[in-house]
Amino acid sequence: MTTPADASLSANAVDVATRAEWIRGAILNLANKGGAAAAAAAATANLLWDIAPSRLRETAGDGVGNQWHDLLCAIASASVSKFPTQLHGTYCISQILTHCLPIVQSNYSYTLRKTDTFLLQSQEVYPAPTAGCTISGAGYSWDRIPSRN
Amino acid sequence: MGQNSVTKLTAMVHVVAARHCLLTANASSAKTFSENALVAAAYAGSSRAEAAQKCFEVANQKVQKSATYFADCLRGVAVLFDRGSTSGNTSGTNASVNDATLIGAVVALCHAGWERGPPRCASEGTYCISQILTLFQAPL
Repeated sequence: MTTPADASLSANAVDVATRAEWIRGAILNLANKGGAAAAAAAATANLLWDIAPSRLRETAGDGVGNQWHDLLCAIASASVSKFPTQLHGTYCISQILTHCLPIVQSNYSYTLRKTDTFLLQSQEVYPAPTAGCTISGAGYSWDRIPSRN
Repeated sequence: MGQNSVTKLTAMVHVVAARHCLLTANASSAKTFSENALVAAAYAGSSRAEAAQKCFEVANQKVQKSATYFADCLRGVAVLFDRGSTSGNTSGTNASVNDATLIGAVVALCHAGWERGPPRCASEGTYCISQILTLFQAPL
């Protein structure tokens, strides 16, 4: 039988879902060992999380995107269960991801907006259009507000 | 830290919750499609029904896996609430209840767990609650 270590070094393709389970298992096992091993697991999970947005953009629209999203959830959940204090002590930019089915994301966001009053407090408030702005009253659109940079 | 800003933990929980919503919606659709294909198999042949059944099985497997991730997130959030209630807090209050982003993450999990449960069934509500209670009771 092929062990994960053998297969990961093999030229034969291994699907992303299998690799996700390997990584998840490694993170969980290393976290249980504590010390430097746990620190390495936390660092790996952080790294994978940090590169997730760019990787998702690269894979958007094909089947790998979905698999990558599953991999991300596998790793994120393992990290949350093992390193909750550390992760909650680290700020990050919101990385709520879009899906292949926009209506699902839309329903999720809509329901969350209706019931999660805390979310409203964290919304960034854009400045009102200035005199130099070409946006007219009735046609006011969030998307058309110029960047403040 | 983590009182009113998005932290990695809360962002991760939101991602897992949103993914759970997507997968359960997929499984629900696959179930309906599979049932309809089975009905139509009498005159349209069985190949389509078999393919639909396979899709449904795959969707269900993904939901099962997602439920595991969901349980992990619940455990992680629970740890923070436990810590908040015991970390030298002499006022007797739990600091976590004032953490807006953490509460938001819990809300997202509740939405995903209760409102977008496993594929539709006659006793869905009872089924969902029993599943989540099982996840809560699983050893850490």
